[in-house]
Amino acid sequence: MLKQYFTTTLRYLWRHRLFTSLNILGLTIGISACWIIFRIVDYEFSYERTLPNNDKIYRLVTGFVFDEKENYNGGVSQAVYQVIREQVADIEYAVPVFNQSVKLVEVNTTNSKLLTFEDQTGITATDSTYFSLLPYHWLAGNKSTALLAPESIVLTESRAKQYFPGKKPDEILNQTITYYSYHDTLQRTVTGIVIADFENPTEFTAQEFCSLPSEAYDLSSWNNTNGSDRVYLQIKNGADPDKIIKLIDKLCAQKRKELHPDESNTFKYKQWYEILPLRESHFSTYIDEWSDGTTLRKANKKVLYGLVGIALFIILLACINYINMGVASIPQRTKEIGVRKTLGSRRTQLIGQFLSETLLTTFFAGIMSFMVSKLGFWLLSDTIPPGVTPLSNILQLIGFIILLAIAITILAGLYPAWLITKVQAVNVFRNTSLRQKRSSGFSLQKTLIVFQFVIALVFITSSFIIGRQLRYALTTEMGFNKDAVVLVNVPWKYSGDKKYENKQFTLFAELKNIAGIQNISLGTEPMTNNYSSSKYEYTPDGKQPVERQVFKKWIDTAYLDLYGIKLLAGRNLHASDTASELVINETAVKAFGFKSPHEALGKFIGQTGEKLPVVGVVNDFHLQDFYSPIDPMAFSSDKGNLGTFNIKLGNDASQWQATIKAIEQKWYLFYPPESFSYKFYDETIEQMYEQERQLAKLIDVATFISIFISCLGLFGLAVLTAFQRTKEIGVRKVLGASVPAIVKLLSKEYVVLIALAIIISTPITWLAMSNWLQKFAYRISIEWWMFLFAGVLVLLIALATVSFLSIKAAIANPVKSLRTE
Amino acid sequence: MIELKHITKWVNSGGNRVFLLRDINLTVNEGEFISIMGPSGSGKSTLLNVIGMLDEFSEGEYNFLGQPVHELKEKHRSQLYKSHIGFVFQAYHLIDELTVYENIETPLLYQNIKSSERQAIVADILDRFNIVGKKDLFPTQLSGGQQQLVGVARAIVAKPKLILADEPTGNLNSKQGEEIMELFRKLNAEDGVIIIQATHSERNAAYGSKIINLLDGRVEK
Repeated sequence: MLKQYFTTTLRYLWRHRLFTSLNILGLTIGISACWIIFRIVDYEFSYERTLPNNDKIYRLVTGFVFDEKENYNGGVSQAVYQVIREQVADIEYAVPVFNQSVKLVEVNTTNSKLLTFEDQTGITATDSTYFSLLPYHWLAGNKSTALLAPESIVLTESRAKQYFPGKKPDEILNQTITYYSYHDTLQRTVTGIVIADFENPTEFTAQEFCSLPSEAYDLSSWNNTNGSDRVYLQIKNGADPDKIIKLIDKLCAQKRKELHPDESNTFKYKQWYEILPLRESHFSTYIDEWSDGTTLRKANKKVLYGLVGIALFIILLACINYINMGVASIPQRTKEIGVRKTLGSRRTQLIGQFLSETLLTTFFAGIMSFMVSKLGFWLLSDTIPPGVTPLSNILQLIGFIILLAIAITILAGLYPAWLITKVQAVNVFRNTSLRQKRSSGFSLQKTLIVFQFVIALVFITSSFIIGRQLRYALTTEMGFNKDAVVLVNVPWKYSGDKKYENKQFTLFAELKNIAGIQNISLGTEPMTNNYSSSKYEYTPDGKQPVERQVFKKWIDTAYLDLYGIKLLAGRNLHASDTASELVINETAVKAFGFKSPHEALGKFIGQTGEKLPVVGVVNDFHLQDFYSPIDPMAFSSDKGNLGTFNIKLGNDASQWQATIKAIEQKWYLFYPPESFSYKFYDETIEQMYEQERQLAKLIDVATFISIFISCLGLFGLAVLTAFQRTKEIGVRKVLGASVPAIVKLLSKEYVVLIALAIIISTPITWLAMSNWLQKFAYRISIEWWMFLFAGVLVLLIALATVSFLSIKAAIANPVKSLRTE
Repeated sequence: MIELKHITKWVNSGGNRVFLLRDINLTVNEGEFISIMGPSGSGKSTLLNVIGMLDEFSEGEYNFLGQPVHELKEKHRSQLYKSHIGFVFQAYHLIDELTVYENIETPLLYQNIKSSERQAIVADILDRFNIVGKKDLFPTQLSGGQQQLVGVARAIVAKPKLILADEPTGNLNSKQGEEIMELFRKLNAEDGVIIIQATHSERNAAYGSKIINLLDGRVEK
């Protein structure tokens, strides 16, 4: 029985090659999209999955309110872990993980060759509790004693191989390594070699663990919160994390109170602690964190759920195709079904036969999608998070395909299978016509097609609107000229360093002589997501002071000219080493209640006790991305805050590389070579919309896939319709219908379906997109023609898909089609 | 064995009741070979469908092997025709996706007969019908006469008591038709299978032991 199912199915699929391949193609794309998305989502949720006790481990993070803006820091004041150990019960371990920056590592090997490593990362200071919290396998050394002695260090196996190539773990023990950091030099002795017993991905990526001195901290350490100083907690079984965090918060607040007993809180500053379940840490996008000099990549749960939604929609589209083609092919199969019924087939056997067809089709699609998803990974490599691989475990893939195949078989195969059993065997005897009447009403098939095109239209219209908003954000007049501007930053680590003090001004003078540079200025770039702001006030004569939050930017005298920012009143700043006067923007003029730019001139604004005169007013320009409205802003001149070179290159773009080379040469005279990096300003601005661009790309892909799948379905249906209507078309032609009239007749119903889809999709898209645009302070408005554009585009694609078949059916010789009856 | 009493069937068409069969009384005994004749639309096929339990009737009684068909549920009815009735069609209605061998085997599959037994039965039939050499061909590779031969083979493979044939030679030339009719006669005589055929042709009808003439759904006396 099974064998006959199988061979019949194979033969059936082969005889209907066109439909089989359409179905397989649609399902392949659907499954591939699902697989890629599954791999991404699974990867993001697999952080710390294999870690024992991961449900009891928490991270301590710090919350701030400053300048009325809430902010989170992934680090804590270092002393916190000691307070917790001493005073908080119900804690199994409180583990300090303090990341260390090291300039240079020197290893003196036995054959007196000196190995040096610059800018090593993954070095952390901790104590033995770290190895209780996390499972490590010890190749050498001892878990409980390794970090007891000061200046001891434990290496991971890979790091040990790097430092001591060719040596066994036991031989490496008790060797010394020299660490040069920015403020001291330390000799450390290797006391252990370990391998992590938990799998990636994880946020515990440290490779070297040095002992943390266990001395008491100064009270003043409570002033510092550094993102590199992390504290992890493992709570005891059954302990209530809410109670624990309340207690920690209270104890730490007391410490800060001790430090600042008379704090009047004029800055409206607030600080508190929160705990983050370890497995949520990877999703904590509200905390900006850096690791080893780059932004720590985190995943946004909303985006992941969105991805899952897209995957479901795509697989649904593919299933709908299958259902539609299955249903449409029933009239052609009536004979076979009828015969089987007269031969004694039971309903379940007929259903089983159709389902086995579906299963086999899905299975083929599964195999195909293995290759297609690899291609997808390659095409989307810049959107897929690093670390996600097409395949890690063949069993996972097989399981995935089997599960999906069963789900699709049930979803897509059951309805047509059920319809098949409805076929009346008696029809087989009626030699006149085996065809069922075409339903005149709005059939399920049509409903499903409309549904498919609604999805396709929502995607295409959204993609269009997102694209336009992005273009708007990048090409709108910003209020300053960003073209041909290159930014070069003096790294922050040199700005506080005595050795490099004021070097930027000497370099500035040198750079001025380079021929290819049209203009050069030191100052905060006009539009940036890093900002500094303060509460400024202005006291009009005899009235209450007006307080406003003001963005501060520090510039030199060349700045306004370089960026083409126009003075509306007054004059440019005079050169000055410290802030002595202000140039403000139009928004600030309005915010402080001046009636015109001229009225603001000569008025004193600023923080209490530090008010400065306004000497000029400039036009408004965008200070931040388009999510934020233009805020009041004040330029001032302050040598200590000038760390960014704004360099306007000449008009001849072919010379730019040479000019940048020249700048780099000069840079080497003053700063270490590795610290040089430059960015074109317009590219920097584009990168501010990285997330949006990724979203746009994702929607583009979804759009393409959904339209492609929908058109596959439409094509299949058109083939069947044309086939079923062959006789009707023949009769019409004999009666004198022209070819265009018949093409029109066949295409008309698709036009109606797509028009309906446009009507349904418009409000959905409109709602979703106006919701998305709402987040932008500066945005395009949604216009009716955008929907019309997308609708006409989809209509044209659909008509192109079906017209070939319609024309073929229309020009066929009626004698042939009528004779076969 | 088969007993039709006052069988009447009608359909409603636009408010009018159209009678397909009117007051048909028919008794068929073991070993009979019956030909039903009549012009197109006289109700031959409908009568066959009713006897084959593929179609329902509006009034009357139908007893098959002593079982009241009019009182049986769908499931029982299909059980009954599955094991006792074989069908032969004018357009052969072989399954295109199956080979000759598999087409003949299909009814046995549906009756859950064991694989080894199936092989023996099918081989026997192939032998008897002289189509062993064609067993791996697909229906489209056969001539009309050969297809109908396979159709008959498939109809009798499960050893039915009754074969219903609706214009079995309608698509065949006279020589092929004769061969099929000879085959029916042989089956009837040697195996004792009851055959009821509907036909337009006087010559073919003459093979039957009894001829029933239908006109407008009535039996013509």
